[in-house]
Amino acid sequence: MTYTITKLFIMLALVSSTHLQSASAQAPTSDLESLEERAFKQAAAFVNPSIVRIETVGGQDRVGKIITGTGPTSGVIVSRDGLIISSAFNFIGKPSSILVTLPDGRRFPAQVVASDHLTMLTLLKIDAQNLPVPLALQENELQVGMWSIALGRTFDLEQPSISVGIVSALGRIWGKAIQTDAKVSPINYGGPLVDINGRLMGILVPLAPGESGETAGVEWYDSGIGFAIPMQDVLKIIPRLNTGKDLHPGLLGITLSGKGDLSDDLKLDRVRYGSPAQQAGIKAGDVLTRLNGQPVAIHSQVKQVLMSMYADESVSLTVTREGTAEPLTVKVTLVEKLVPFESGFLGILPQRESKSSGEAGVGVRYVFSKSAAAEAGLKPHDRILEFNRQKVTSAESLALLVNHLRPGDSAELLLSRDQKPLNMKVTLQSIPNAVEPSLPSQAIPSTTAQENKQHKIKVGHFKDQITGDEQKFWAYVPENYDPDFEYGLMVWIHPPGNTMESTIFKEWKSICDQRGIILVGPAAQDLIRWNQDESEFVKEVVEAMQSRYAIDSKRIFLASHANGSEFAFHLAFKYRELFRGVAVSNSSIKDRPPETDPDYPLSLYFVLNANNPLNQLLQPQIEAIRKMNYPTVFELIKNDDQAGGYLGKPQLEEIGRWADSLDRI
Amino acid sequence: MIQNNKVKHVFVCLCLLGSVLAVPLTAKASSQSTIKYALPRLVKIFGAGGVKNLYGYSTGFLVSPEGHIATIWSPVLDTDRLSVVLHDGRKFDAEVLGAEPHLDLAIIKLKSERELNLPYFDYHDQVKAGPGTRILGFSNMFRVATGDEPVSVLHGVIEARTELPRRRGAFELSYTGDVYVVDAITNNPGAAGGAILSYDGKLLGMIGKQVRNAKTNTWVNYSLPIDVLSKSIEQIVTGKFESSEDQKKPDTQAPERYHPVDFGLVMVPDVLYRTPAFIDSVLPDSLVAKAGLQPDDLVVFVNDELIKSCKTLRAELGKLEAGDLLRLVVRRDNQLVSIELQVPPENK
Repeated sequence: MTYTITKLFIMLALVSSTHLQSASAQAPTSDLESLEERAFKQAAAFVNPSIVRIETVGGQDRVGKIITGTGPTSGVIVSRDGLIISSAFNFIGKPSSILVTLPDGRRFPAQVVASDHLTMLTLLKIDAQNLPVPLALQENELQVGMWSIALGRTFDLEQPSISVGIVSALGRIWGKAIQTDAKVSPINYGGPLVDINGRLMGILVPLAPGESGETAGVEWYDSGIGFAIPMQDVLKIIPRLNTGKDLHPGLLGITLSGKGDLSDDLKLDRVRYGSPAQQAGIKAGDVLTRLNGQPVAIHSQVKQVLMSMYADESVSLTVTREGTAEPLTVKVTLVEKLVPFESGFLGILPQRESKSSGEAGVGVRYVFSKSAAAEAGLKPHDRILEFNRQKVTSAESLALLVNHLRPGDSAELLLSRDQKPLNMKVTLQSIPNAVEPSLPSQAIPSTTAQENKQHKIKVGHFKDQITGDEQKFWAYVPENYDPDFEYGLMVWIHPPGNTMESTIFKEWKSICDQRGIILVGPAAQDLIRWNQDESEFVKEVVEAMQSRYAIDSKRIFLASHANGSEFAFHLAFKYRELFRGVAVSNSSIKDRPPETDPDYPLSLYFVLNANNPLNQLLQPQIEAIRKMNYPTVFELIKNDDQAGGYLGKPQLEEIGRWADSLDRI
Repeated sequence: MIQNNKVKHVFVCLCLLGSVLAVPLTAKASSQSTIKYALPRLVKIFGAGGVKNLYGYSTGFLVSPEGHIATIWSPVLDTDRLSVVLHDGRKFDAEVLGAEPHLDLAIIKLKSERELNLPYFDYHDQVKAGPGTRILGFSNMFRVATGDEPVSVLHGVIEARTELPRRRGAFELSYTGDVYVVDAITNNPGAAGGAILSYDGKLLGMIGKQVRNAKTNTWVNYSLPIDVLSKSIEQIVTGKFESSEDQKKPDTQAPERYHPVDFGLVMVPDVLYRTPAFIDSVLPDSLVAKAGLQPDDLVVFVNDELIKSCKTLRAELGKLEAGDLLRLVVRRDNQLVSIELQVPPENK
């Protein structure tokens, strides 16, 4: 048997050599064309035994907008003992069973070993031995302009499907892929891209520069822009995938200021709290100058380095920082997931004490029902002296300690109750997404209008403007305002077209008096709309109020109604250090909030009439915001009131309680 | 077994090499001479249409010196005012001589008082070509050629010669045989009825309509092979045509002669679009129980047809006839288990 086979081969070799000779006698053009054609076919025949057909059973019929194909797809053998690499696209439907057919017709059930979510490859394993592993091209042998042949095993078991093109580019999609103009589509995703000698260049996958995910880039099928992951990179990740663990893109946790890939603004806009960058000491405002020692000047260079890296890999970052002469270089290990930070919650409101009170620690004004504090047995009038063995000097310092812990973390408290020390252990919880049904207001000793007049403090309802600025605002300061205590500040952002001054004043006056809140209502330059550059003016109004009155920086919040909310959210996200809350009625949220940051806690309050058509839009938004770990209250009013009207008494009182607990810890 | 496989392997290799060798050795023509040869043989057809998604134009190729043209059978031809423009701008009225709807083929003839003596393709030469063969595609895609302009030329290779799986119900395509799938984007508006040729000038096929591949849900560029069309072209041209349409059996519902339970199979409830065909239970003493199938086995093949879901299982079992050999392959844990049994007489 073996003898005949050898004989056959010799015969074949002879035939093809005469073939070549006869061909070389032809006219030059047709000679080249037919030689090339023969080479395409021989390249396909050479790698053919290593291309497998993959069929799937079960799974979803639709992923996003894409109807998943039920047809077979392709894969490439990468080890003699049954490892097969394919495109993750071929398994987007999450099939319940996968079958692999070898070119010789043998069929095997296959298991998914692991997937690489950066290169979008999936490694399969079948129980077979002595499989033919194809020859791979070295990385330095790849060149733009080389013939590249895309192969698949969708149609025919005997022969692979063939599409011919050239290498269009190398290092595409942020350094990840070979680009080819051979036709790449679901017909050959997972199949090989080979050179004219049938040596493996890479594995065909759909990719797109702006997106990630299994279906990114599929819309480019057959368009003359196709991608393959270079084989040398594939071979590097196979041992890692073979441990059964998925590989993920590595994340650093920084955002750059400038917009667009060509921007040369490399100042760090944000450094996410708890991210590898933040933990390495990188700060917002730093300017990125080098990555892995190589200078970077535009955004795309940064992406080129960072977007081809895996989680657990390390990168060195060099930044310059204002006020620091020498550039700083740190080594950072990337992570798979950036978890939105969620602050822990103890469950108390601190006593609002007069500026002159010199008592040690923080007094407890109120204990939230079912909170960590309630469960541990904290009571109003207790004083917290130490938190995790650190002395607590003010409500601010206690809040800072608690906010940087996460729900589930435990902490030790040292209290003083009735002048006796008391140790307590608490397990922090999440900040509730609801408002306490009742909240006693803090008693503030009132001064008389007479006394305030004496001290030339403006109280009551008045109109004003900032010195040197024409733009006006109105305000209400409770008549019994006592400058020895800090007040909350509600910044009313009126909806376009209507300042609602008289309504707001009338409805809110009693709540402001009861809860110790000052009301300020800046007016838009042009009443019919808020211009985004008026945010500066609003900030100045707030700062002016802060300089004139004793205002608790933890209780400054924005309130708005209907269309005014867009500007209110814009302000809250722009001046994170200024505002602690946003309460809006009859409105949705247009901008996606930035990531949470324990240094700038922000609470959100939404109230909507159930008849309002925005309801359907808002529900998923609320869900998304809560997933980002913003404490978010959402109240749906079910009554027959007109959908667009302003709020009734019970809702306003609830917002009052919410505002009165913004300084919760 | 291993020995056997090796032989099979060699056989596959041989087949591949064989296809390499099948290309004519004495290829004198080059792609350039082929283009020169082909362009005068392609025509632009203008007819009915022009409404949304229905193009009023298509492409055709001459198959006789008297002006017989092979083209796609499409609504474009459904008019009394059919006109054809040759590569050199000569314009003719034309009439439909005959059609073979099962092949999407129509033959039209130029109306002319004089003898024409036009250049034409010899369709009798039934050349076949395999994957990797370089092709040139000729068509008036997007009606970009007008008047005395020749049609457009594209280049590529044959990806595969295969049966075209269509998306059921989505597109009207009656043809079910082999097609050439090519890697040039040949199937564009107005391109249907054009021709694909090998680089050395052999007519390989007629460009088909725009259809999606049902298995991968992508647009597919295909041509109908000339060896399939040849006989019908000849018959229509010579007037000896008998459409296979008349002989065609009426379209019936897929047969449902057998149900899983006839073999003792109780499948899991079919609740999803593609419920995997897991066996819920096996009736005691039934055929499959005796053959050793067990609950939780996943049926993956019925007589070499992949079972993607409970639906395909029902369809495949429904087709069986009494006395057939039924070969079932199931996946149990990580093994494929194969059983064979004889289909029992129908249970009426």
